[in-house]
Amino acid sequence: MLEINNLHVSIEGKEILKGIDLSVKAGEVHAIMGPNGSGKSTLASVLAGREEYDVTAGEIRFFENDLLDMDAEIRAREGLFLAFQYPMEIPGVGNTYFLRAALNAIREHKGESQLDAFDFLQVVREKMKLVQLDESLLKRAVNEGFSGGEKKRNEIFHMAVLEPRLAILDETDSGLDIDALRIVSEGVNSLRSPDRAFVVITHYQRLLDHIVPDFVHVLKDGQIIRSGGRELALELESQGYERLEPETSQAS
Amino acid sequence: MGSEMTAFQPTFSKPAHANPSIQALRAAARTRFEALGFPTRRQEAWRFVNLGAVITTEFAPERPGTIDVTPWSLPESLTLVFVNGRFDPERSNLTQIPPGMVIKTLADALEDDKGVAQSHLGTSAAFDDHPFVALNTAQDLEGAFIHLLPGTDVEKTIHILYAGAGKNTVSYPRTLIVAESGARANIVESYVSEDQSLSCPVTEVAVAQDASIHHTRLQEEHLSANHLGSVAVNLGSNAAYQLSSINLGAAVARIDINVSLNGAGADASLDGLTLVGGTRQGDHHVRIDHKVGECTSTQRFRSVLDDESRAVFTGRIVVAEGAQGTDANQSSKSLVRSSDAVAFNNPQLEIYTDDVRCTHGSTVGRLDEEALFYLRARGIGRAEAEGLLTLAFAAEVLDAIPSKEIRTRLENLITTRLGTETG
Ligand SMILES: Nc1ncnc2c1ncn2[C@@H]1O[C@H](COP(=O)(O)OP(=O)(O)OP(=O)(O)O)[C@@H](O)[C@H]1O
Ligand SMILES: [Mg+2]
Repeated sequence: MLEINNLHVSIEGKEILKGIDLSVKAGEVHAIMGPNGSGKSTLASVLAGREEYDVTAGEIRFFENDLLDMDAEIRAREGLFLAFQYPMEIPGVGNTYFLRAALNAIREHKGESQLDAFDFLQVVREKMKLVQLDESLLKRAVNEGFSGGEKKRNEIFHMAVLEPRLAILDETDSGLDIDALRIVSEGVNSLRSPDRAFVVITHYQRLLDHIVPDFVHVLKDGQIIRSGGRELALELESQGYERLEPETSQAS
Repeated sequence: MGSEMTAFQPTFSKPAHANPSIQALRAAARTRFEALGFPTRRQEAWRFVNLGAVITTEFAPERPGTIDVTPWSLPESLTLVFVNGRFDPERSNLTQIPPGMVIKTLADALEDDKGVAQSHLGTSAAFDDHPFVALNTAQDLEGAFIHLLPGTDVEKTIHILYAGAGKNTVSYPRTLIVAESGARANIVESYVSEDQSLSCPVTEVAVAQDASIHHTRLQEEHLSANHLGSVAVNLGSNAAYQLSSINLGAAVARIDINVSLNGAGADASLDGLTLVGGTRQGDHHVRIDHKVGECTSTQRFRSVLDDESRAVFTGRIVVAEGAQGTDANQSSKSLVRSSDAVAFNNPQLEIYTDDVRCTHGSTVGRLDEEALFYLRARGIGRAEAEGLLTLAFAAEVLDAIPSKEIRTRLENLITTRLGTETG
């Protein structure tokens, strides 16, 4: 569903991503690991449609579409979801109101009927259980005054409601306590399905014990220097990035 | 601006009121208006206002007209409707007036009321320094009169709707609200029109001891109209006055708000919201006089600007000598959604006593791009996302409006009209 070819991305003249290739198929879970500043969030942001980045080369296909040609909201309506590393606080915009507007925009795009407040509440009730989100958080403004962990859970809750085809989770595990990590992971696992894929960005092998990936990629200095199965994550955990050698060059 | 360029020549009818004091008031106001003339931008209070269109248009008074007012009407309310300044009994609803209150036209009240209208008229709205208040006072004084007897608590909303019909008409609506001790009411004034008209309304409010008035003032004139309005309020001890001044329409809208806190424990809470686009301008010009100590006042003014529009807020807090224990707060915020729009926020403090608590803060900002991206990345389109953030910006002011119907209508207007109108 997602094909990234030779992606180069700069910001303010500085090249951050230096030729990324990545192929994600339906049903797969990919983990991306890598040191701070290596470009993981940049990749996630470019996929989600953040406009301040310059794509200087390469292409991205999402299903049959040219992803880079689509506005952020169209990408979301086509089924791409980004759980933010740092979810925004939006004072004055109610969490429920916002989420219903989002779901209805996606449903409209798919030619489905709009949900009224009552129908929406049914959806919300069901999905809230998934991440054990406190009902009071729904009544508040989006992420306003939420604790770090609550914000992350709220992101997963949004994902559960919006039911994307491709979900990118940017360090959703950081800042979670052990119980929350388990709850969030179970939430994600319950959403795994043959026609949905996940890209999970994380620093910790621990998360991958819960959300078992099919592939692990190591991003360093804007390039994927290694790809492998879940055992690669274990190798990283014991050796760190410093000693990780790039694979001998492959044909491109 | 030389008078030879002036096309708008206000006319004055002969004072018909039998009461000699009203005749004298009108005559004095006319003399004052003629002495003051139209304001120019050299005058500090009018520095930001471009009255060019007002002064150079040949407005004529009160041609009879009809206009459909249903989009603005509030079912279930006691309603007085005036079209081009004339009372329209057909569209008004005065059934089931609760005991303890008088609601009628000001003209009737000045004829037959037991002296209440006469004794209050002109006591809040001073015209010495204000040409448009003088102009209004010199006219026929047609409009609404509301008198709440002591202890009266009016449950129904009271709605006064002033509609301008036709092109180049001018009207001078006049509202007088007298709330006696302990009375409470929720009063809505609407100003609407359908073409390039001019309205110069004046609303006077007297709130006696322990009385409480909520006043929602909706300026929804046609986008080519001109609106030069004034609200003047006197508060007695422990009286409360809450204003929600919503400034949506008109090419030029200037609203003067003067509140005088005359008795200890009085509280004035003034909210304003201006939405402007195109080349339009909206102006809230506020003055709060803390005449005695131990009073509180709060001002929350917001403006949202698109295109090449202009919004002005001037908020003057005057704390008189001896007004100890004054607590006055002011905040003004502008959301500028276009690089060609300009917002001016002018806090002015005049404090003649110690032991006061005065705060003021003013910000001019843009839509938060990060927040916009977050909303869009969840599937919400740019225009709707901008609408949601704008609604959030205006929320404090909107939430204080008691009528749910009005709130909902304004919320829809903000999320849908903004961004699509070109002005
Ligand atoms: N808006 C920006 N302006 C300037 N530099 C940026 C911007 N966004 C990212 N960068 C730079 O790009 C590099 C990659 O940042 P990115 O956030 O993608 O890293 P990351 O791999 O997600 O790191 P972390 O693990 O700390 O989250 C960093 O050096 C960062 O400073
Ligand atoms: Mg990151």
